[in-house]
Amino acid sequence: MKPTKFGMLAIAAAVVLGTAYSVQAVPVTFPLVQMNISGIVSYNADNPSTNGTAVKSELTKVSITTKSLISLLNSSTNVTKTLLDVTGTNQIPSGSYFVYDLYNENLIVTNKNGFRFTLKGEDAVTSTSYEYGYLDIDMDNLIGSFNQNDNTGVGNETDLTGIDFYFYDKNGNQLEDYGNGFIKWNFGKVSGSVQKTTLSIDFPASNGYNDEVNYNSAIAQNVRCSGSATGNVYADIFPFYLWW
Amino acid sequence: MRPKFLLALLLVVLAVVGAAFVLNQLLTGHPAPPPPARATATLTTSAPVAPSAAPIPAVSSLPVMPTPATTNAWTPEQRQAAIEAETDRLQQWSANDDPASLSHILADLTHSEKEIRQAAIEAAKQYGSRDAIPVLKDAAANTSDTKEQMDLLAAAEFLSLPPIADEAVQQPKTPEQIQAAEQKQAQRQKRLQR
Repeated sequence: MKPTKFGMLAIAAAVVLGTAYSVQAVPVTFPLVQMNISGIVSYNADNPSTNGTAVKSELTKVSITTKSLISLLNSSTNVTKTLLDVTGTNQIPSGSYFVYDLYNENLIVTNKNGFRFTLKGEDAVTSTSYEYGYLDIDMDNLIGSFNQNDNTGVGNETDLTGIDFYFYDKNGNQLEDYGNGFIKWNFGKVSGSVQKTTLSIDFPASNGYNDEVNYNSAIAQNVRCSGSATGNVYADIFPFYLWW
Repeated sequence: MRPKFLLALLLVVLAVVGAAFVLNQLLTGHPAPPPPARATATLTTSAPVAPSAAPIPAVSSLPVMPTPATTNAWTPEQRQAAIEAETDRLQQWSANDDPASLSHILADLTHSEKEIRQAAIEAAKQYGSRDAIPVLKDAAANTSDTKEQMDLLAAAEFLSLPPIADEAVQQPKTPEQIQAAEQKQAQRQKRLQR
């Protein structure tokens, strides 16, 4: 079918309007923070052994990193089933990393090619919820200090709160650790309704609470989730600890 | 297509672009709207096509942190921006598995900017290669900063441990072992809830 002049005009107008709309539709919330997760977990790998004169048992230490946690998720059939339902692929692609959505307290596995898997959510195929990880802040106990230029909005803020880091691959590996978290804000000049802001997260979840390595009871030490990101944030949410 | 029609088409497109631009300016120039209610923002950030931040750019699109001679003429803002860009690159390299990424990370262990050296230590840990251990130890031996020396040695020790996902750590368990471990875990949960 040959397009009419009117049809072509309508398409051109729709493309232009669509582009203008999509610029407006981008939400201004908190920047997603790419997180480095690291720590050491100790556990008893074996039962006590004897050589006839002495009995012994030693702790085994393993390291945790963002990469190794992603590897655990990819090795769990429970997770890969959910992944397939939610993202259409049953493996987290190589080169993926965690980002933290402070607003929704969600940990998301993502990459620069558009892959995105929130570690806590709903599996629409099975109509069940799943929970493979999150990073909670204690919103009832959030304190902070800040200073800000009244005229320009330029300033900074440091908030302190309790945090809870959770990871579970549903395959014998679990981390549930607590600590005190720092949320730092460096806000730039207000422009219109927003201001360019650098958000830095430092959550040392140093208190091992309920950890497991390959179905063995374990204790995590020095687990740390940290990172920073810059983006445009609504100007009137500061100071964050009071707004939240 | 006739030239008259093309001209008309061009005029209409220009008019619509102009109108969209004016509309855009009017909307962004208005006083600050109230911050989104938590529930509303949840909807926007959970939309799969609308992430709450621009995607982290590809490694090649980020500016390279220049040599100290070039950075001397920079404003503090420019310097900070360059440090942030290099830190972003380090984070991206740490998620990769290629030797080139590891080389970049290890090279930054001796960068003139302390913030970049610190980010490189974390990136070396996250990259997770034991090949980094001797380089970390060398860097520790060549710095007079005690805190940095400790961080470098701690990173070397961290990399000497097996990762939790290692095959040797994740030895398959029998169904009986799994059941026993799950029962133990359930009992523990019960005790914790008391």
